[in-house]
Amino acid sequence: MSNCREFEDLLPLHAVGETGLDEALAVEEHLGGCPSCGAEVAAFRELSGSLRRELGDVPPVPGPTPAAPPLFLAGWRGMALAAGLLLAGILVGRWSMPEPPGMGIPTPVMNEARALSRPPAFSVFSPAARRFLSEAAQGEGRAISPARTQP
Amino acid sequence: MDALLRREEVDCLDSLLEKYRGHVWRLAYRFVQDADEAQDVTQDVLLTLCREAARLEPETRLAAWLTRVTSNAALNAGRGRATRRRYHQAAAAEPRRRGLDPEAGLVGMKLRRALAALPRGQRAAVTLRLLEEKTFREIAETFGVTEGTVKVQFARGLRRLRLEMEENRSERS
Repeated sequence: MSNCREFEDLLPLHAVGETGLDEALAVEEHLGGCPSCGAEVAAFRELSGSLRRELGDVPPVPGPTPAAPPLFLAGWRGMALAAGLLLAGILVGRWSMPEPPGMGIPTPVMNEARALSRPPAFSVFSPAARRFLSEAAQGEGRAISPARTQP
Repeated sequence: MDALLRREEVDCLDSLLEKYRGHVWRLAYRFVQDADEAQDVTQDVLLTLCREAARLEPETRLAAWLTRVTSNAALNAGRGRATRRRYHQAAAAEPRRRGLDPEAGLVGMKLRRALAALPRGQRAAVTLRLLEEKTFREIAETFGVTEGTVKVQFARGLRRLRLEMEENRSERS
């Protein structure tokens, strides 16, 4: 017990297996007769285990920040612009398409068939959504909210 | 020709940064235990590398050089009061961020605090030996000191941490 101070710096090293052979033998001999130093070594082992366990994890390296989209394409403005362009494209395409020939089928029947085969305009949009999209197409779009797109 | 050489140097530097970014980040995080702070340290160290690359001696071991520069930068990072407060807040929020019971992260938080409060040499020795798994010889070579010095710093650091944790435990009970 009297020479415990001599082992002060050796005990933490011994606990993590970092003493040389001579030092390790001397520490072991001392521990044989000194329960309090034995308890210290056990505490240092426990502590180094806790450090590794609690602070050992490192999160992955953060990747490079993705480039932000141009301001006019960001957020709801971008969505509104894309929806407006899509809608305008559909309407222009539909109105500029020549009528297909009737292939000898009587005109009323042909008209009926065409009416059935064409999807009605704005079939997927509610009136509120239609109003919103046309406003967006004219550059006056507002934020999309669920209430505005519900029928 | 000059432009070509410069281009090659830039490419070389790019690949160096890419190669060592993970090493610097991991080491910085080990010391500061906070992602934002580690990111700041990483950027500082990589900037230092860009500035110093041309002046390094040809025989410099870059990994060891980066370990020294990163350790020093990270040890200096938590000095300000505001930084320390942010550090403690981040440490307290960490278990919640990871979806754990805050009580379960209490030991980790106390260990972070106790480790951050150690003197620089002791903190470097304990962090590099236990968390980064460097040998005492590697640590000694990195900082240009003797292996004996690193061992003493490690032993005193671990002893101080133990006392700190014991005090915490007795305060709680």
